[in-house]
Amino acid sequence: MREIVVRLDVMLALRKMKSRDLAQQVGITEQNISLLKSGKVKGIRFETLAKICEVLDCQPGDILEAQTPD
Amino acid sequence: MNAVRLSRILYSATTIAAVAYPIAVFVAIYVSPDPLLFFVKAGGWGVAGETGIATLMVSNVIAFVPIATGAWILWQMRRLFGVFLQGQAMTPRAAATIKRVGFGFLVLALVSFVMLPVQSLLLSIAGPVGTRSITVGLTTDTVFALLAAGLLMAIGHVLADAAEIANENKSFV
Repeated sequence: MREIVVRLDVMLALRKMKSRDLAQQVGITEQNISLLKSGKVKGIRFETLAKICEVLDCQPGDILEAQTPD
Repeated sequence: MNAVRLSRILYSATTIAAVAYPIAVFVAIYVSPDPLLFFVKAGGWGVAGETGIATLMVSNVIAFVPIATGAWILWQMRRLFGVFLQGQAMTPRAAATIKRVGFGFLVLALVSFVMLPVQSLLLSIAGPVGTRSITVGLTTDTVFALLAAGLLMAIGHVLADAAEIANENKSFV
C-alpha cells in the first residue's frame, strides 16, 4: 500500500521561508509544522492544507506525494 | 463558575471528606459510651442477650466494610477531580477513574444489601429458637447507589471512546 510523504521542507527551502514564519501565517504551532514535516501526523485538515498552499503559493501535490514504500 | 474552579473546589472538598470521614467514625466510636455496641445502636439492630463479644467484634468488622468502601469512593473522586484540574478531562485516565467511582458505588450497594441479612442473623443467632431472624430488604439508598453505579460506569465507557477520538483528533494538524 502506498504511503503519503510530506515534502513541506522542500517547499519551505524553495520559498526561502522558515518553519516559524509559516506556522505564524498559517495559525498553527511551530511544533505542529515540525510534526507535519517529519510525517508524524495522522492527517491534515483541508483548512490547514489550504492555508499552507496559500502562504507557500503552491498546490497540495507540491507538498504531498504518494509513494510506494521500499 | 468555570470547570477549573469547580474542579478545584471539589478536589479540596473530597480531600477533606476522604480524610475526615474515617476519622469521624473512629472518634464517634471512641467517645461512644459502649464502643462495642456503637454500630449496633447506630444501625438500630436488636441484639440477642447471649451474643458474645467475639460475635459483636465480627459484626463491627462487617459494619466497617461500607465505611471503607465509602472512603475509597471519596479517594477515587478526589483523584478524578485532580485529573480534571490537570486539564486531562478527555483522557483514558479520567475515563478509568470515573468507572472506578461507579464500581465503588456498585460495591457499596451490594455490601449494603448483603450486610442486612448477615448482621440480622449474626446478632440474633445466640438467642433462643424462635427469636432468630434473617432480615432482607431493599432500600431506596441501595437502589439509587445501583443506579448511580450504572450511570457512572456508562459515562466512563463513553468518556473512554471520547478520549480515543480526542487523541485521534490531536494527531491531525
